[in-house]
Amino acid sequence: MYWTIRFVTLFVVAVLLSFASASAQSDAVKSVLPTTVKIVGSGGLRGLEAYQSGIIVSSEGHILTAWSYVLDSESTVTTNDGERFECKLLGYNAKLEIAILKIDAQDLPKVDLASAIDPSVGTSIIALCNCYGVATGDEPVSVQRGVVAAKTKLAAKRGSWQTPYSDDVFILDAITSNPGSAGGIVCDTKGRPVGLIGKESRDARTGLWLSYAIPFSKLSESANRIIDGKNLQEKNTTSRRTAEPLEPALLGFALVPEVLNRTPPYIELVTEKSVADKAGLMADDLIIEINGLPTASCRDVAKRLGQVDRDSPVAITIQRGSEFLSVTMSLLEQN
Amino acid sequence: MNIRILKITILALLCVWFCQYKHDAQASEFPNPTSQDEVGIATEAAIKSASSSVVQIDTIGGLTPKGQTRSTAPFSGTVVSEDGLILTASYNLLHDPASIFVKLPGEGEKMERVAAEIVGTDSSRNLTLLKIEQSDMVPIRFADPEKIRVGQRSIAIGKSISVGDANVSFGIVSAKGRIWNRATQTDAKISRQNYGGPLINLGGEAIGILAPMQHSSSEIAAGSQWYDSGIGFAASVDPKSDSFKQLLGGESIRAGLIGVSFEGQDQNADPAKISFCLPTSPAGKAGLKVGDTIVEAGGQKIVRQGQFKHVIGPLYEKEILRVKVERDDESLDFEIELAGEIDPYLEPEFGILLSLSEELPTVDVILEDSPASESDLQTGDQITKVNESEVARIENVRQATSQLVVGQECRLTVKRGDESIEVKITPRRQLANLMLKTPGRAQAEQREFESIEINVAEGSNKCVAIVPKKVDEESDRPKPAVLVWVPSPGPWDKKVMFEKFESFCSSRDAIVLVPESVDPEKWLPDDASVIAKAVERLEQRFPFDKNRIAIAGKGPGGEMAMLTAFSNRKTFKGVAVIDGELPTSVPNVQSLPSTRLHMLVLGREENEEGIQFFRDKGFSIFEETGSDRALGRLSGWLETLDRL
Repeated sequence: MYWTIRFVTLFVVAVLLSFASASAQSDAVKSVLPTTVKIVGSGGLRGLEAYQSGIIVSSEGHILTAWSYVLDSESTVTTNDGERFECKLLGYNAKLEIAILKIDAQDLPKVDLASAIDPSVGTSIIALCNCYGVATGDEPVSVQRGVVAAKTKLAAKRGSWQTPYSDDVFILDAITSNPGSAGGIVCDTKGRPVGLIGKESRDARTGLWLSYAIPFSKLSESANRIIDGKNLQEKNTTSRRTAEPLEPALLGFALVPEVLNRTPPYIELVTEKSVADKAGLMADDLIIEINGLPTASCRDVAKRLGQVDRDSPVAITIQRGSEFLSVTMSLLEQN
Repeated sequence: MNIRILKITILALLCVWFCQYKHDAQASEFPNPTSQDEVGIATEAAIKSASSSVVQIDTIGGLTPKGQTRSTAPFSGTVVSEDGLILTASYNLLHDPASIFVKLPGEGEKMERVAAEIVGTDSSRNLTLLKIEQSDMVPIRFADPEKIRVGQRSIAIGKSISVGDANVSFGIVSAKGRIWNRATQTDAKISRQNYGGPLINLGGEAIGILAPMQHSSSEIAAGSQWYDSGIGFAASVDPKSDSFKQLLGGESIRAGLIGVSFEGQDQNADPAKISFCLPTSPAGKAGLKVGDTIVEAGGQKIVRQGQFKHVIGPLYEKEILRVKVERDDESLDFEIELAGEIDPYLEPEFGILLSLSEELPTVDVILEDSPASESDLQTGDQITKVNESEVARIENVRQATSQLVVGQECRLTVKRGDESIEVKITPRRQLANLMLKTPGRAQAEQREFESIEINVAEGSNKCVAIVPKKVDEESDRPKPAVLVWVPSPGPWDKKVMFEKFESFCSSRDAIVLVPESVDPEKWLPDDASVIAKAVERLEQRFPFDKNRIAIAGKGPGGEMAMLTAFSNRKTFKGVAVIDGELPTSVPNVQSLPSTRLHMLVLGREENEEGIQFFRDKGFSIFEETGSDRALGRLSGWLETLDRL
């Protein structure tokens, strides 16, 4: 009898061990799924899909989703159990590209944004979203698995436009850059919230489709303000050309003539006793960075300087032979 | 309760479970994680260890190839020596930047830049080796290739996103020995985010270096369109090999070649029987000959050509390949020293046009100022032997003469009347003044032509062919030549086109085929396959002389003609560009005996660089500055496309 019990125990332990992790993951899915919703817009632009994903962030029916054209017209929200609601656009933040919708419901299961975690690179995650709008009615949204591939600042484009959000994101090793996925949730395998799946966009420099999630820690403050009825429409105030931008000539240097559309930004000459001269720039230096942003071409140098006000100091990194030097200069010093 | 049954059941279940467990353990690799948590720990350790050998590389300047958007973003590289040798995918440097530098994480937020230079390339694996002045770098450890198993976990590591932290993508090994045994396939997401980084196992060892690759093309960018698609490749690197040591020493290394062509079209069915082998090629130097069948290579049995490709695929130049061949029921062994480059094939020419109406190889025309005109050869001679080979039919003559070496005297045996005469003749490369002296091949009686439509199911292109009105099946009239004329993109009038070519067709007894572009603005690459299909349809209705078919066009039409000809080498024997731009460099293009393609360039003096490129690759090119007599030149050239 003792022999048997020992075996039974061993067996049970072994079986539990082998299923523990898998069951944790499916528990996570089970706990998060009820907080997901499917959002369908009534119109949408021609050729664009009028659907996306969202998550319930308050038991009173506040829904966090991506701010997009899907919400331009009247849209409906279908919860995980299949119940359909008319919704109201409570407010949005155009810079973060999020919106809060409100449906008339009580005691809903919700994602607690305050409990969001900051997973490290390589952490297994699951993504829940209505990619391609495949889930309808009471069908649960699709679940994908992956890992956090990287953490970085977003530098992405949609068409030829830079995305307004340029802060931290989790790059996902799971393809979530699909129609309908935006507004879905990424959580870890224990079901703890990680971030909101971002809108489809391409990497600004490589042109590759990006699968990314915006950390809830970056969104929760703005989301809560909208829920509390403050800052209902946060306009996008991204960087623009300053009124009085810097130019190479003002600093006292000139670049080689631009013959190709990617002419390397070599300095052709430096005016004596100019700001650039005093800072130590020399002819044949290759400018590789301005204020921490890469300058791959002459055009980039003009663009980057154009974003710097004449009253502000500018940091320029150059390559001279195999040496790299960083100098900071300011027009104000001259006077 | 029956305890015995319970015991047995539990034991059985345990056995099943234990077997599964053991199976899992075998399927995974060092360090044999047994639970999800352990996998997590091993993964973390592997990423950490391999990341220290991965660096971010950035560039300044460079070209943007026409019509392509190539990224300037930072990319990844894998450290392979303590003193700063770094491997990356050649794809990352395709834009030929003015400056390359490696970014290393410094103290705190700081980052250190170190200038890098290219020390060599591995064109077999599409990798480039960079060097930075730095000591104490951590070289990657390479996995034992014997221990890589399909199904094992693999992690793709890059540093393209951040200088300090690696970006990762998880997957498994999907296949081994891909790209002719040059790469391991994975389903991890492979893209610009990790090209140049390593694909590692759970022990942190590199299975290979990530690079875009494709089995049907060795172009550097081939395969990049498959990014993040579930098909990615890690180029295999053998750190112990001599070739790798050569690369580390700053010597570029290339894939090893033997320089033969095989008979047949289907590499997955046909045996490796040699159809072409110059004595100057690596195989020729080793003693292999036309007609030999390779039955063993590198210790592997070879039944089909594809198997041979797998054996030679991973090898580099200067390596020795041992082969066993069958020659006339004999089995012979050879050692071939592989070469990185095969001298371009130069077509040997005598200056003979064979009779189109005779079945036996009979000399019809001897071109002026040619090796034939300087020899004792006469019109009407019937060729019976080329050196030692008996040649009964025209195709035998073609096959035998294509094996001759330019500048080396050979013997033709001809039948003249009842006599058998041996003629000594030395073939030359391209005959100089063919363009000026249109040869006089006897013209058949003129006949009337009409235009018909040729429909191709695959494309919506309209194709019009100008063909003889009546075809007499019984007639022994020679089959007509074909000119495919690629007009400028956009619609054209069928009647105008007919008027343009009617006299050309009737005076030369040639068929003209004119395709229309689908896009009215431009020719698209897809149109090339439609044109090729239209030629096939045409042949079904009007059998033509397959040795005299050329494609030509003016301006953008000429550029499309080039694209179509080079992507359908087996169909076209000639390509003509009139006032069009010749590419100055095309990867993997060379003259081949099996697919001879003559070129004609009229107009556009700016094409000198392009002409030189194709001439260096062994092609026969006739060129002229002006294009005013284009149709006349075209017809003379088309007439002699089948010359020997």
